Amino acid sequence: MLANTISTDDFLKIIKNMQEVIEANEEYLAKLDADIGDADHGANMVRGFKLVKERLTSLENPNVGKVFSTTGMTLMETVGGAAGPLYGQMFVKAGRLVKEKMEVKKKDLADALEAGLKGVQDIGGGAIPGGKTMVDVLDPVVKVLKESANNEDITLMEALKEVREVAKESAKRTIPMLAKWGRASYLGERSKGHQDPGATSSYLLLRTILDTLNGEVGVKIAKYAESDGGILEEAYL
Amino acid sequence: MLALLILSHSQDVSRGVKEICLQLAPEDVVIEAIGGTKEGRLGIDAMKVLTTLEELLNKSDGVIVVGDIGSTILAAKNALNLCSAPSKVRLADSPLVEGSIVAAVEIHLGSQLDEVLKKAEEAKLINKL
Repeated sequence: MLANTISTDDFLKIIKNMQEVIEANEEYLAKLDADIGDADHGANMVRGFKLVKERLTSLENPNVGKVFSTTGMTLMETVGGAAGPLYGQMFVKAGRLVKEKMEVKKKDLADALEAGLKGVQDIGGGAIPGGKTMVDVLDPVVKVLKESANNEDITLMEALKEVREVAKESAKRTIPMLAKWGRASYLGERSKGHQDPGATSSYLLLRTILDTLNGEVGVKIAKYAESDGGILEEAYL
Repeated sequence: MLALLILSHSQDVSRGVKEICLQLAPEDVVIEAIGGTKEGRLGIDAMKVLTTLEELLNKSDGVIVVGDIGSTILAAKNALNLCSAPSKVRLADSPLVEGSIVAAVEIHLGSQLDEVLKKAEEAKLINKL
């Protein structure tokens, strides 16, 4: 990888690592979803990414756009629940912004993820930050990437480090929120005090971009508090 | 001619609703029913929704989509957002059975897409008793 671009091969590694990270955190995601959902987010994501990994391994003439769209189509086919359409939409819309590209720069990644976020909001009832959803992580991350895209002084790696930090903090920030969209919104006040599973899986996926480029395989949330589902400790696989 | 796409978490429900519609609107109405996951559990294959929507767009003048709840509706919106002709698709905010029946009858009567949508959504207000 050149210092300021992410190549197709990089993304193939990144998304395959996403599969490992999701699988390592299946129980954690299941627990978060049991608290305010129907407990299937972990299993759904594991099933989806398992097939994604298979399909990417046999993908012919890959480019970044194809990698994203293959990932999105596969997720929408097999993840189930809300996450399938939402992550499917995110990856496919992002993929359309980087069609045919063999590598992407900061700006391409920013624009792609922004298109993905808009798609998620379009189909997800116009969700905005503050409603305890994956948008609570995606929105600030897109802002970080858009700002870095226009700033020559921030390198790609620095931008991705900030993405990882912001994504983590944003996922945690969903804990006290009242759920306004999605299944958790039916719980009303009872949704408070729990970290959102969709925001959490978004954080895990996004941090894997940097972790992969850094040469670290992936992260497992090693411990979490029973009372508030917050991230207490993380360990690399 | 317009087409009707029926979506449910349950394959049985989607097929049953299609069957009812075909009883009430003769077989010249193109109806596809999708429900359940690939593994045969409750849920929906959002990819199949997208590909079926594209197929229906290829062989009709427009598609009316009726779904049950939750992730089915998300799958419908996902398909609408990614398909090649979103302007020829309408997602009806209707109860599944009643909305589908009204849509099928309206399509058979030759109503235009927006009229079918309007009537299908009015199904919410019909008093059954």
